[in-house]
Amino acid sequence: MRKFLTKTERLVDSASLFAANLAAAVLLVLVVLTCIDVIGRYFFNNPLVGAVELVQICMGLIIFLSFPMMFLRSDHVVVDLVPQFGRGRLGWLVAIVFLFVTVGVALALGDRVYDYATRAWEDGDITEYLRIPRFPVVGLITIAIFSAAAVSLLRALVLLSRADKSAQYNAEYEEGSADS
Amino acid sequence: MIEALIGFTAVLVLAFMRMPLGVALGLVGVVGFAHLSSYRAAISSAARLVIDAGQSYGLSVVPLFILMGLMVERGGMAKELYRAAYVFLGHRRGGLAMSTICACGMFSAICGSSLATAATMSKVSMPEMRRYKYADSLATASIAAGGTLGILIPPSVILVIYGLLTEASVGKLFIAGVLPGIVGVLFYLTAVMFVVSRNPEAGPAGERTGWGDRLIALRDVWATLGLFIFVIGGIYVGAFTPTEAAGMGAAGSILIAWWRGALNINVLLEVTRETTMTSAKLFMVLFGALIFSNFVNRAGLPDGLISIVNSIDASPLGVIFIILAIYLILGCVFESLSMILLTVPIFAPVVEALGFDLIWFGILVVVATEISLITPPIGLNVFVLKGVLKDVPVSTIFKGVTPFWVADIFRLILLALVPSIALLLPSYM
Repeated sequence: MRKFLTKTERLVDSASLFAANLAAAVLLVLVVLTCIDVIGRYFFNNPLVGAVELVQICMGLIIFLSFPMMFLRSDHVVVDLVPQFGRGRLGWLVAIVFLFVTVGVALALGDRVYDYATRAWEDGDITEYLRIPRFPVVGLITIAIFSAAAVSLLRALVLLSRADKSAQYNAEYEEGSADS
Repeated sequence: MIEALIGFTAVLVLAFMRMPLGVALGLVGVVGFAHLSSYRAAISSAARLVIDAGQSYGLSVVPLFILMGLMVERGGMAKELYRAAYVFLGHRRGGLAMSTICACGMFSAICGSSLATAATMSKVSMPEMRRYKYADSLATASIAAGGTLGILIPPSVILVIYGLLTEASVGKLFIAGVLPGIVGVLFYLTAVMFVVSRNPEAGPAGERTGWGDRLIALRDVWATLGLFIFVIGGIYVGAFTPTEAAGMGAAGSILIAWWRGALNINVLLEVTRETTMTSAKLFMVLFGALIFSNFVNRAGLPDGLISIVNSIDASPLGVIFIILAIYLILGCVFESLSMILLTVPIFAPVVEALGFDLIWFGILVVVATEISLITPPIGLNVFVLKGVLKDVPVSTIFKGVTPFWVADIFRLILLALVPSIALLLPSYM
């Protein structure tokens, strides 16, 4: 079981890295896009049509393509005031409970975002100027939220499989474990 | 209103137990909202918020400015900024600490994060101050305190988030941060002078630099300072929206790094990926905070507070000082972004109802937050420094930071009593 989990974790790691690299590429596209818009407007009197919509789409891609990697590495903003909750058996237990809570929250939210995505698909919802269909981005947000749930579940199972090492659990170390 | 207070307590408890802040805020927000109306309404509005905020045009400045800051950091420009400040100030007593403060101020003008400013400057200026046998307390404190300027002097990620929460103009907020930032630098320089006047051993003078070398040092930083003037000046004269300015700034920083030979494909990939990860992390908390503040508003907390304030007939400025005191107390335990996200949706309506300017209040909040970065026991800048300089005890840094902390309190009072320091520049926009 532990071997299977480790293998799956590695596979998920590669997939998330791919998505994160895509997000990084979109960021560069966003930089180029804003520059073309400004330079076009001031030097050629010809701004980029629908730049605002393109920026919005880029933002959606940047943020949500980074989601799987962020959840896999548990790279979240955490209030680190009571270190006991991040160490040893208690830390291990709390981490698992919170991962399951995260799975629940993500599933509930993803379910509703999925409704919005299907509605965008059925209604043929498009952006105002460029008439770009909205469902691909909303669909990506759905996938990102569901994958956050799946990745959190995987991490919870990995932690559970290490029950024998729970006394040595250290959140700081765990956060870095997927890096190696 | 009681529901909102219970929700607030629940978030605090979950956060202290190390639940990711975004999850804690979102969970409590949805459960609370469902309690007040229905589960369906709660989860629908949460989903809508995530979809909309995740594709927000206004928030695109966040990744772009983060990219600009990281690029400048990788390009090694911090060292030259320090050098430029050193050639003018180094020969004075405490001059290296003063140079650190000024270099931090200049670095903040490109970088929107205090932690990054402190981390970068500690690598550049600490070895120099060690070489001149500066007291560890003064050396580390000047970096920790100087680093806090990162979130006030534009561009500032925190001000963008404040702008989103209060619907205040981000461009005006940026410009409003300029003069208070300069006042901050001046107050910190005074703090350094105070320390060396009491203990000259703490900060011996360096060598005097001739005018020839001074001009050479200035030549090395023109590109970095030019980028700042271009970006912020562009916003000021209305040539760009903040998003466009951020895009141009990011492109400019990539070009400068490339021109200096500090850029290759690996660095570019590393920096862009770090940017997107940091942005996603920030957005995750932001989603939670938006869901939570939706609940808090629905539960009537801001309205409740406004009616309490009206019923006790408090003086408006007195209310502001009470709010600032709350920030200083919260700052002892909370990290800056979380504090802003949790409190601004509650306090901003109260401040607005009292007839105050939200741009001015934003600057006050950011300065109070800055103070929290160097307040014991968890002042984050102090711990960033501790991470880089493992041999200096935290207590030494906190002790050294005290004069700077006092200078900050004076600045906060000054900015509260004289709103025009913050509002003068935006009034000409």
